[in-house]
Amino acid sequence: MYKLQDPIGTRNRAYGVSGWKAFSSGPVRKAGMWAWILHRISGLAIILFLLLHIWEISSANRGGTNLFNQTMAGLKAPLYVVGEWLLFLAVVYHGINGVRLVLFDLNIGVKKQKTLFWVVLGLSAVLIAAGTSAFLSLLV
Amino acid sequence: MGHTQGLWAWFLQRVSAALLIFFLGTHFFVLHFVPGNIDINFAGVQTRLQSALFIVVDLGLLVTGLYHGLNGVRAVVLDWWPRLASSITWVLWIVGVAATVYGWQTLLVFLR
Repeated sequence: MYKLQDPIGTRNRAYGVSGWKAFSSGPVRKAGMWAWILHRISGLAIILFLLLHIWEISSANRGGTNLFNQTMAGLKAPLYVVGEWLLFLAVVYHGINGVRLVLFDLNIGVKKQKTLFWVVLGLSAVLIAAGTSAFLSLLV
Repeated sequence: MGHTQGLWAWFLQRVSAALLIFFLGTHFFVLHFVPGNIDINFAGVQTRLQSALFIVVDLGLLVTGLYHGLNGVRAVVLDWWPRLASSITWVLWIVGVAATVYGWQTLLVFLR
């Protein structure tokens, strides 16, 4: 009954702690496993960013117009632009792979999960290539 | 209660995912790929928030982003410590509600 209690991403969550261990030890690093671990890691990175983002935007709440403008100016530093670009990569992958997972929920493409993982990577690469110039222009 | 709670978590994770593709797509496009918007300052944000669409998108992002993200954290915690299910759910709800209220208060600063 455990699955019914917490069926988040039923197929990928079945790995549990053994998934993390198996991935880090090597022998089962196949496409589906990469898809799973990248979804987990990008997800954690994004929620960490979201909490920081709420904090940073809330400078308007803590110190009004001045602190907000000061904070926004500080965030133009290259380090943060690179960080935002990494966030962009994480969001693009997580979103597109998320569509792959919902298709599996609907029982579509389960047997082609490996091919679909490559499709996810391909689509991500195209979107990332298209979006990267906007970040580059902030650096130069 | 336990079973239905898990099913709701699963279902709402899909609903919030779909909403986030729309909200986050709009948010990212408007803030990073519309040339004039790169320079972010208080007055500019205030002007943008005159439009109801932006208020809806921002509030939607706050609620769905926090729900989806913290529900994801719950899934990762359950990967490692499945026995912590009910306590971690409580902790994450408190974090989520607190962050939503804090974010909403900030939105109000711009709407004043």
